[in-house]
Amino acid sequence: MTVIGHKNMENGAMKQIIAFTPAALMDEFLNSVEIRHYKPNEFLFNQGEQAIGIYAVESGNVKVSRNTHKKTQQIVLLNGKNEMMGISAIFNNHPLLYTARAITPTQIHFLPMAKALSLSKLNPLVLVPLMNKVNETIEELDRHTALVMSNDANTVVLKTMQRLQAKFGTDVHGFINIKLPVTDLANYVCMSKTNLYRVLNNLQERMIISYETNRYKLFNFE
Amino acid sequence: MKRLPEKFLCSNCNALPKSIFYNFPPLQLGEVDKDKSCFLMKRGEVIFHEGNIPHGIYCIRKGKIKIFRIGSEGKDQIVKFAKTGDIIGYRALLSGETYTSSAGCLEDTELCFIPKDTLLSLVANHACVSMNLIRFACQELGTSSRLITYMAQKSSRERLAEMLLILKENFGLDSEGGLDVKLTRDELSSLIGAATESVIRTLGDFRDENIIALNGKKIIIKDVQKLLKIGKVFDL
Repeated sequence: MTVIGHKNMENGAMKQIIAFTPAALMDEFLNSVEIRHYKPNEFLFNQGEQAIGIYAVESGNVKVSRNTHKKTQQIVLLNGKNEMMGISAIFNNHPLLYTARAITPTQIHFLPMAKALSLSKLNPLVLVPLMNKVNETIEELDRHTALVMSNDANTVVLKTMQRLQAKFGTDVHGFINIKLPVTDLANYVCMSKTNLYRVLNNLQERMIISYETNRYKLFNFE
Repeated sequence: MKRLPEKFLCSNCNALPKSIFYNFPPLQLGEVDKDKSCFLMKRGEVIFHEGNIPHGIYCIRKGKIKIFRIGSEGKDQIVKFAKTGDIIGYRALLSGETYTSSAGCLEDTELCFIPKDTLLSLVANHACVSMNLIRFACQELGTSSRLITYMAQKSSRERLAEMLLILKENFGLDSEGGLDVKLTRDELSSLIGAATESVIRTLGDFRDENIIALNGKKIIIKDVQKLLKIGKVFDL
């Protein structure tokens, strides 16, 4: 991880917090935010560690996972630009519930915990955008859980791809804008890799999707 | 939905220690009392529907509520429960969006409705309300992430065992050792993403293995240790 100080973040993930920062404290706030760069597979934080701040994704993708009863990792969220992590542990004062790891080169705006807490005491409204971020995450988790628990494998994969496309968009070639190894996708949709390959090949043969190394394309979003 | 002629005072509410208004100064609790309305709803009644516009939040004074959404096959899918002291409807309200799920009463329930303007004014002016609200949201986040982590990879038998333990943890047991929440087999199946027939069969298996007893809709837990083992549960 490399850390570079930076002040130009008015258009980034932190802009909603900036909007609630008193003008007199703006410089102090901007100076406290670190710009962090993570390489692929580098850990942002680990489950069980003490929370130290809020992580807002500026660019790149992050997989967020939890330890399972099988002592493996279950990916519960795939995060991209403008998404935030670490809020829950700060405000509930408990160890981090997740592990976050960069999938691609990732830039993070990091707000230290003390600053986040002092801001929220100065202006309680700053908690509203943070709460909305938490709520969006709950919504995403609930929808994903309902999907993987109640549908056949083809539907789970297809709907997951639709959601990923809606969330991350597509690149110039029409591929979903997140590079995701099959191992990670299989973990995210709670399937074995073999089963996922079977589903992907079936959907590809039916011209519904195409895929190549770590990239997926939906031919017909509907 | 029946509007109650008298308001319950927040300061006398048994649910206060569990609510977002805990530790709230008495003067400001009076503001909530002034603006809120209290309702009694019967089992089966729907409090709000997916897609409706929120006009406030509901604080559960007494009762049990299911939060559900319409699944891909048009079947209700329960996503979580709420109980005495919990609030519902705040997520849609704060994000300015419509409800993403519906809420229905699992038993006769007393609710207090706090209008949007009152809540937003409290959030803006009182750090303790905003802080309690975000903590409440964070707890919900923990529950949601736990569900996908532990439930999604399990068989329906394992999921059912774990769900019985979660229900016991959330709602407790009545005097006969039965789960203190009335759920139909359909509702139980929608909770764990299994077919109703499969849930009925597995409950029968658990009964035969002397892990539970069944008395109509009531499920009596007899052997928690075996449920923990079957459900591969290490923490609740």
